[in-house]
Amino acid sequence: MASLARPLSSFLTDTAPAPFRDLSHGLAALPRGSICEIIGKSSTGRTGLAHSMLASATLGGEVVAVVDCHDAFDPASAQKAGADLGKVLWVQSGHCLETALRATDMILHSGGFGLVLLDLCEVPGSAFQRVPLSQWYRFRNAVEHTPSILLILSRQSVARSCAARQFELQQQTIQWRGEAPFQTIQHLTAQASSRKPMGVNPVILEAFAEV
Amino acid sequence: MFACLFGSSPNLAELAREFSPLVELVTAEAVVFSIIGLNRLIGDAHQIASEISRRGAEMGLVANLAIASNPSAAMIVARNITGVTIIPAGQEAHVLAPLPVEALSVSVELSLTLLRWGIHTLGELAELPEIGLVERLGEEGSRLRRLALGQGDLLLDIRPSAPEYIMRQEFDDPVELLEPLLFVMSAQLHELTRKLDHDGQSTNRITVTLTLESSTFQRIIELPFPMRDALALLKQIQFSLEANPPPASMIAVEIMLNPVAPRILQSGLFLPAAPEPEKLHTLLSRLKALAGEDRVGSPEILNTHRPDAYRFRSCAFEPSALKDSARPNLRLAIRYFRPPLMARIIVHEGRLRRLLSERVSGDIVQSAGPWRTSGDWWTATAWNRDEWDVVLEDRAVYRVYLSAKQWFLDGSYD
Repeated sequence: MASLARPLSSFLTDTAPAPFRDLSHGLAALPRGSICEIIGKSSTGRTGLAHSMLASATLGGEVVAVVDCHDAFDPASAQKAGADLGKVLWVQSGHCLETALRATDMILHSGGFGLVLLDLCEVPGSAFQRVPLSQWYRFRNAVEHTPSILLILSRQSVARSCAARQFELQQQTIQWRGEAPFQTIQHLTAQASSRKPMGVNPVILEAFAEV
Repeated sequence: MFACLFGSSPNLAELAREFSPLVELVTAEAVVFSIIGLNRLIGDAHQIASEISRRGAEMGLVANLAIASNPSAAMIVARNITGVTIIPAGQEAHVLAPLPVEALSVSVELSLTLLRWGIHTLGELAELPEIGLVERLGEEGSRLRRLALGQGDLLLDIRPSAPEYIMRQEFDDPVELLEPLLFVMSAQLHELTRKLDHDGQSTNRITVTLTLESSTFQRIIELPFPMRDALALLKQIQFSLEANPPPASMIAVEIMLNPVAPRILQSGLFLPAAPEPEKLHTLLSRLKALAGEDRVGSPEILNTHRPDAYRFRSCAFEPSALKDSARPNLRLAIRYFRPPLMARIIVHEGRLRRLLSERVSGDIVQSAGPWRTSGDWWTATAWNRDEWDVVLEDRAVYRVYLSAKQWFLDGSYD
């Protein structure tokens, strides 16, 4: 006969570390109240994956923010992924990393956003050397103990020890449809491996193109 | 005791409010107000009438004034007897008696009936037996007889004037910096919002008027929704004045809040959290000050086939429930280069061989296209271009296009 009393462990879920979920779980792979990073080179599906996270959050009724360092965000792509653009706050920082970081800081401290996407994909690696590590600790403190997630998209790890999860994407194949040269992309497959925590089997993600 | 002012001057209500808070605007030409208690301050009815007349003359008003024990009698007398009339208690019927029946504002039909009966004055109407009058004219007959006797039972319909939320502060010395100005404004806003809170009101517009040494400087801040948080309002003023600082030293500041009904919002226990409206508005103002006015907002896709057609619209996030109608899916996205990068494409034997641009360069290992698109030729935003998807040697996929004999790098697939 099952006990009606709740086990003690159920009261400790807030303090216990979130269980690891790979990126095939979508937004559930990112623990709340933490910084998560998705890193990879161009055409590895980073942005498509981030858009699916935005879609999950907005379909769940949450408000999200996109801090777009190099004005690269395409709202049409996000909408096709299922995002409700009426729940998206988009900030274009005009190719200025400092503006992007300050805007992110303001948004995190304002509160109420379920997901804050900081897009730093076009920022060269040398620019991050001028960002002090304390900046990322400040972000971690701001997001800690809140239901928000700070998701950073970049070519390389930038938050380093402040990130709770790091996923790296590597392109596997690009599938085309049609006869050359009049072909269109059908889908792109990428391998998503976890760099933090390590020792977890990678998963294969498929990002389909618009038909 | 009640007083009635009757005249065509526009400031009758203002004069009445100087003597009593209990004022009824009966018509545009008639104002009735209570003067009960003024005898302690001013004196008897004659002294009160004298004071009202004196103040009216100072304001340049021309009106009849009547004072009586009830509002109805005061109103009838003020309408029909020129000048100042004071009716002692119990003498109403005697004063009203010589007035014509038309003084009661009766209908034409009833007036003709009374004339046929030989009733021309209120005194003659008052002498008619009440029972007989009720039998012939009904309840209206009884009411008219009571009015003719000066026994009206009209109650004042008092509607207080809309309160104004204005505060003005003059400085001893001209103020040049924003910080001391905001310090003064903070105290003003706290006082004004306390009044708003007391009256159950919020505001949706702040008007800040700064008196400069040789001119005035005004900023009007429209709020997207009613609010009455002093700190949030102060932040809005700060951002507005930082963006448009006054051109000279200030010698006085005036803040006016436009009162409106507060916003009523029903939140749900099980709805996900959304940014608080006051905080969100402050955040948006700060972000616009940081990134630019036209770089912050919610994206809206325009109804056109033009690539990358969007605009920003103002954010208005409301809590909403889970939507089950659509599921998120993993789609290949495009990342735009804004503005598109000028590029060089080396073409050999009809095939795209090499891409050269400011940020991306490399050998093209695969290309697909061209895909010709055009549209909006009837507008200034017309486009006409041939697009290719190209894969570079590092397996990155880009979209390039040729428009007006110039190659551009449009974006990358990611």
